[in-house]
Amino acid sequence: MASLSGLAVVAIAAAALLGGIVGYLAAGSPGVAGASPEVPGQCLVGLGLLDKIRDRGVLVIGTSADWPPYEYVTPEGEYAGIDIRLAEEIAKALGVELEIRDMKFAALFQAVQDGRVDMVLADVAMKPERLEAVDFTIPYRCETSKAIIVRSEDAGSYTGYPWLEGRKIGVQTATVEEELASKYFGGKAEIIGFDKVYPEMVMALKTGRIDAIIAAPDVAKIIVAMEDGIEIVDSIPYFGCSAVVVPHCAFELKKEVSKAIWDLQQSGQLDKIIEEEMSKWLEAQKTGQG
Amino acid sequence: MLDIIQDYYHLIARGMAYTLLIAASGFVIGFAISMMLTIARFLGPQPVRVLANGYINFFRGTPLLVQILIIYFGLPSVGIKLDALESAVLAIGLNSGAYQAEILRVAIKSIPEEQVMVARSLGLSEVQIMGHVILPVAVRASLPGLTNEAVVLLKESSLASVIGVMELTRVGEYMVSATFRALEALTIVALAYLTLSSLVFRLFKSAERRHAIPGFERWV
Repeated sequence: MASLSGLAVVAIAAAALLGGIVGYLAAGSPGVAGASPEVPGQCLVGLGLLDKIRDRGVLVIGTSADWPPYEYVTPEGEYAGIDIRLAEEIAKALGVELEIRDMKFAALFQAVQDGRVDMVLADVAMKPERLEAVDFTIPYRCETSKAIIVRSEDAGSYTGYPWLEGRKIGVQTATVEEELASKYFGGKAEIIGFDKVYPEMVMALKTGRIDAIIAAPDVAKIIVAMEDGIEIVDSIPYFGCSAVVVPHCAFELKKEVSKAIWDLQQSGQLDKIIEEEMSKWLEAQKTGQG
Repeated sequence: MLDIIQDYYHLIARGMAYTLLIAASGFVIGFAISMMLTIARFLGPQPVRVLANGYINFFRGTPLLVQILIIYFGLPSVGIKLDALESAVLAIGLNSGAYQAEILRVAIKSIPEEQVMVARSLGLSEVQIMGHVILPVAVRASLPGLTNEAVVLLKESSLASVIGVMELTRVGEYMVSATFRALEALTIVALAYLTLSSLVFRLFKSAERRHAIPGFERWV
């Protein structure tokens, strides 16, 4: 009958555990639906968000820390990069502490809509269709082209866009690069989508599975510096900007963050941050890639 | 490779701790749920059985990633707001409960029907038969299956990284993106997972040995 008492222990433990969960769930936070009824649904999170942030004294930003030099994690386990520096400046301007939450890029938009994060800094491109779900501040970084990367041995024979016809081009899926690739090379070249620029796409290029990569110029510069045997040979004209993502109806927050960005641009501090972070990366490559 | 480990060892350790935490709590919650499901589907009245089977089919029939996302992003709309770690543990626990219930069912089906008939003829009630005859054997018999499930959880806990839990796979992604040395960083992650799963294998093997059914030790 020893097995019986063992079983009873298991059963009691199970019941206690489950009771604990149910109790915990029941005691969970008050419903979002409890807000005043005249506020439109999509405004529930954003309206008056700046006051809430100031009340709690903490600005919570969401990011996806696998995108150097914009955001990454240092060996010490700390977040770093252009967006992180910018977030620190914004928090300073708002007079609050900064808290960073990391998640995959795809989850960020939902997180800001749900109010799990107050805003998102993750090199997010401003796109009209994204306005359905979220709102943007003024842009903090713009680019005027996208880079084309090929293997070094092909660089000599590269003659321009016609060279790419009939070849395989790698792009990150669901990005501006993908749209540009199909606009310029759709039907002429085979366009292959990848989850990430590094490592997947770079490996595919180096092993000959694709012949070219279209990527953002900043990122391209760093990748070419870090990896042997690939070169930037050309660019595609494109104008696009990255901005901070805020929820709908967060009017005050949007205004204050935009103002902070504007001030940083005017004082030249933003350029300095970007310059510093970029050279930090390129420098690290020269001195210590071992 | 060694220099990456040297640089990142505390992040790796942290990732391993989170992975283990998610998998272990998920497994324990899952075990508790599987017990309730088993009792419900074998002893409960018809509607309870249907409910239990519906639960099992739902959680086996939808991707764990979707379940995690529903719990993390969907539950707040009904007023339950869990943080990323809690959501991941809850989702994995609920999911594993369904699988463990099935593992238990297989074990129960392997018990010869004569044992139940003998128990009935001795005048044991259905509840007593469940508690004294079936479950003590079934739980032991399902240990090999549960080993599988525990290791699967260890690996599937990587899905928690989607909602922002800094577990082992996410740490791997940090290392890959920050060092640009994908193969080495991923090898480190693989070895870390292997270390954790070896631990699980040992644990369950010794449990199997210690709780062997008397007279059946030689099978272990």
